[in-house]
Amino acid sequence: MNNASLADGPLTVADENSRIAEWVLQAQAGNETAFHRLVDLHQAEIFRMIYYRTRSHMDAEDLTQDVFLRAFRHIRRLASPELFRSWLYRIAINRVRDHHRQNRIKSFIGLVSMDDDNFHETEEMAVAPIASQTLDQQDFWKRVRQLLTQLSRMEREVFLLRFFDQLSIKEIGTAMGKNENTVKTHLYRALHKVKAADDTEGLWEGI
Amino acid sequence: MNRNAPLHLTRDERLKAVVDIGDIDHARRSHLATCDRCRDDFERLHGRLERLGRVAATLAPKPKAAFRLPARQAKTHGFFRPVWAIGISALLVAIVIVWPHAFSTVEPQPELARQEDRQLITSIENLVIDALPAPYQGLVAWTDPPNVDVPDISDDVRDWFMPSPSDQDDDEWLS
Ligand SMILES: [Zn+2]
Repeated sequence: MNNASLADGPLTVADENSRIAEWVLQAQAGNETAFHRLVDLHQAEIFRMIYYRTRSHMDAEDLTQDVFLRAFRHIRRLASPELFRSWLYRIAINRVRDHHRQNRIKSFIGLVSMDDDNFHETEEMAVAPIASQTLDQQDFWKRVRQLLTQLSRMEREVFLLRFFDQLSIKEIGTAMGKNENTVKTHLYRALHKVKAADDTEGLWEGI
Repeated sequence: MNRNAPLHLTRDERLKAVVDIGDIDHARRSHLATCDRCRDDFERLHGRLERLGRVAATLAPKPKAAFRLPARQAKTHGFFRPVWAIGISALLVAIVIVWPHAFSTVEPQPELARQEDRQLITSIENLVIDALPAPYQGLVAWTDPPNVDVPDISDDVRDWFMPSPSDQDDDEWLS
């Protein structure tokens, strides 16, 4: 945690945003320490965001590194420092999409197997459940996966961004380059399907 | 049926309220605020979705190492300093441009060239007249402005064969 926040007590959302904007400006001026502060604040959530979409620890590590490296390389082009978080998610969304595309190509030429175009089952999740995971955890991820496979790519993306990554509708719009009404429409459709899946298959039972 | 019984929120209205409570009209929002049954339904759904995200965050692994920028490469000295690199690049570009003219022995054929130009311009004009419908143009033009959405199918098709926009394109519209 940042020393300033310890000394000054808990930060309000506005304080937090202006602190981030300040670090973005400093990072744009070449200050690597400021950029590392931004990383420390966002790395865990970006890692999780990628993990939800790849279900592979190793891929999530690699792609997270790539996202921050790209962010550093291009941070000078970000004209609105207050949009840093959405911008970071936008880079991450694109990197995950490219990752899936590369896997599809590998799958096409027979290098890896895949059971779904967009939400593929990696070896890690299908063959060898993560050692530290309990049966409950495995069951949770299995049910999440079942829920997500009911959704189209867009519906899945907005659903994950809203309820897993905790982005606001406005942030989702910025991250996806879509207007807010489009985001809401996809989210509404996603909820319809998720609710229907719950009603018929009880996918949410116990969650 | 009691005609005075309050009209509870429909399933669609509840889902709409979860997406954005401001999207249901004022009267329905007032009902939601005062009707125990509707509020319970709404809060149960909202709560389960929030819990889903919270549980996922708890069960997801953590990154093993903090990201740190790679150490900068040692500054280059001597002959390969940037100023030299720029000078040499400029010289190479100049040679590439000048070379064919300086050593070409082929006589230019102005009339033939003009004919080819005219053919090219005609074919471009035909393409403009016979352009693809707008949604298909959206497929080709990746860098959509922020508020112009191409249809869902385009997203999926495009996603299949086109790489993501470069990071430069990513933030172009944030400027
Ligand atoms: Zn009611």
